[in-house]
Amino acid sequence: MNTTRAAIRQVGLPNIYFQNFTFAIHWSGKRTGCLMMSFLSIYAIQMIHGLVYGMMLFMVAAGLTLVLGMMNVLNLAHGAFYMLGAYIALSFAKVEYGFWFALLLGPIIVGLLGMLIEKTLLRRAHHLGHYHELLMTFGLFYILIEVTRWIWGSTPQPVSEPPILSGSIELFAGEIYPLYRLFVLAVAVVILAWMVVTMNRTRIGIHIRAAVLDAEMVNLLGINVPRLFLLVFTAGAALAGLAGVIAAPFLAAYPSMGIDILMDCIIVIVIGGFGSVWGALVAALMLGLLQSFGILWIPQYTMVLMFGLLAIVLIVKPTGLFGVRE
Amino acid sequence: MKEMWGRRNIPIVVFLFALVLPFFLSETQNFLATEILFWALFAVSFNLLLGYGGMLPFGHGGLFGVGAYTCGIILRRFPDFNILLIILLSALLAMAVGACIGFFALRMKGAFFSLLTLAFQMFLFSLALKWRPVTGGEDGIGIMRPDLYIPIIGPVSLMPGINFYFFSLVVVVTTLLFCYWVLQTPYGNTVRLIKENEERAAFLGYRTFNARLALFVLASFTAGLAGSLATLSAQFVSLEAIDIDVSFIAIMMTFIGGAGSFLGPVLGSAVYIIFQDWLSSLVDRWMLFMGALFVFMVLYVDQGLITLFRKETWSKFPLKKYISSND
Repeated sequence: MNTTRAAIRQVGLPNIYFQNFTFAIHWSGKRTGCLMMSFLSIYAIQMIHGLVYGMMLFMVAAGLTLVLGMMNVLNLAHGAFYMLGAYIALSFAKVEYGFWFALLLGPIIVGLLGMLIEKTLLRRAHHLGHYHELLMTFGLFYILIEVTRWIWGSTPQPVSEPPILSGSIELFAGEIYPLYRLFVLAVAVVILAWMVVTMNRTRIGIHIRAAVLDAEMVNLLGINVPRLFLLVFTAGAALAGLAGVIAAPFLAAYPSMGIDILMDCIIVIVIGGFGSVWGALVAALMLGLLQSFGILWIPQYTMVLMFGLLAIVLIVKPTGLFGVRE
Repeated sequence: MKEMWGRRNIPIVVFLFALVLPFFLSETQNFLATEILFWALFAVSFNLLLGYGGMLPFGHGGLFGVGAYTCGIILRRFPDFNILLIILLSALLAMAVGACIGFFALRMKGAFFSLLTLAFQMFLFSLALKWRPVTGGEDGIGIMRPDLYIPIIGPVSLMPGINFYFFSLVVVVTTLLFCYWVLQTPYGNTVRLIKENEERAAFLGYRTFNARLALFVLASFTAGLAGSLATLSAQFVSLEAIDIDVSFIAIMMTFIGGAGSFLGPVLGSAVYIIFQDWLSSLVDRWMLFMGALFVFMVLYVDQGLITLFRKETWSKFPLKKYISSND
């Protein structure tokens, strides 16, 4: 395991930090004639970058935090679902309109896989306590990563954007911005809106919110909590798969992308509070902005900055920003 | 004969086996045996928290890494430093770091505690990655094992694998005995009580936070010791020593062996290292089988392999019913 991780490192990941950084440099170089202007626009651009990454992080973290809040299961395989989404996008990329097929089929495939895992494996480990469930999801994480590496190889592979969304668009003050990232932002906003409506305006949303507070009591009231949990797990997996599909064109597909996003997600759900979707949203946006501005100001210590934020939040409010219980 | 194979004597038999083992092994196999030793120490250190304290730290590998890096940094500056002092200093630094982490993390319970320790480990990892002048960043630090100075005999070279194996064996067994002794004292009983019911322990007048912090500090000390042995064994320290994987390996070893007993993690580390070595020589995709093993373990051997050595496990086994004439 150590050797494989080291091998991944040696390949040199195309990660978001690096991409953002080069992009910022590129931009400042292009507009040297108008220094003040470009200064302002760098901030604006970095802010959109942060929002894009934050919203994507939210899509992955929302499922994770709901599963954790409802059943006390930290689903480590969630990162693998995200990775699978990216690889599905990769394998569809060769055909015409492949991206759109992937956008449609990716969440369905990953969601079905999540459903299968919950129904056949995770449910049987539930009575053993959450440490055992954790070990099981970790084993599944391994299996999924290894199978992915088997099928698609271990090197990072670029995924091309759909032709309609390639190129850039002119934003405010003559600044141009890659269209694809705006598309990512739009998809994430749509998902967020759907989530708001589901959580606040439907019966299932009420059940989910109640189950996060006290699953046992909700079960006693005659609501089928295991089925609800299956639903949330499947939806969470599908969302992670969707995030993976839309992340593939700008982050490329590589086997360790699962663990990378998982680490960020863990920070997000700890800051936001367990089981809180709003907490996940706020924390994901905070983290996204922190990363993109951290890269602008102190590129070497962005990670340290992230953990600094985490430590401050936990010392001031130990249950996380929006958490209600431990 | 029956008494000799009683449960009490198993550790002694294992120890005697470990004493004669290296004479029958090649240099590479000796390296593997040494690896089992320090991983066993680390897994026991982890199990102090999980099995006895009822806490699941995800970031225990951070303390292992602190020990490993301290050892490497000292040896790079002072190649002829006393080896016993080096491992002691590494363990003490890990203990100090562990005390700081524990002070913040132990206020939380359950998954929050787990994730908070993980966050601290990620912080230590990023420190090791970015603080290049001291830690060497991604290149790591290469070192040489210094000689061990024994009062009457004089300096003994630890470069041969077998010598280092015995050195590790002495360090590991001493530390394990110390940990076992601590768990037998009244303090050990307090820790068990807190695991069973912390609220009640607090009502009885125990300062539960202090007791748990002391356990965390003890576990940090042993983790740092294991880390320094790992550096000396590989003669190299890099980011792999402080990676998240280290924590997860400890978790897996503990679960494979069984978290309910003191020697379970030792068995788990032996099984893990041997199985990994065997699998990686046999098939390319050994991680796949490793993952499958965990899923299988959780479903069918949920209390760990150590239960296979217990009578209760086999008495539940239906075959026994047909074999024994009575009952």
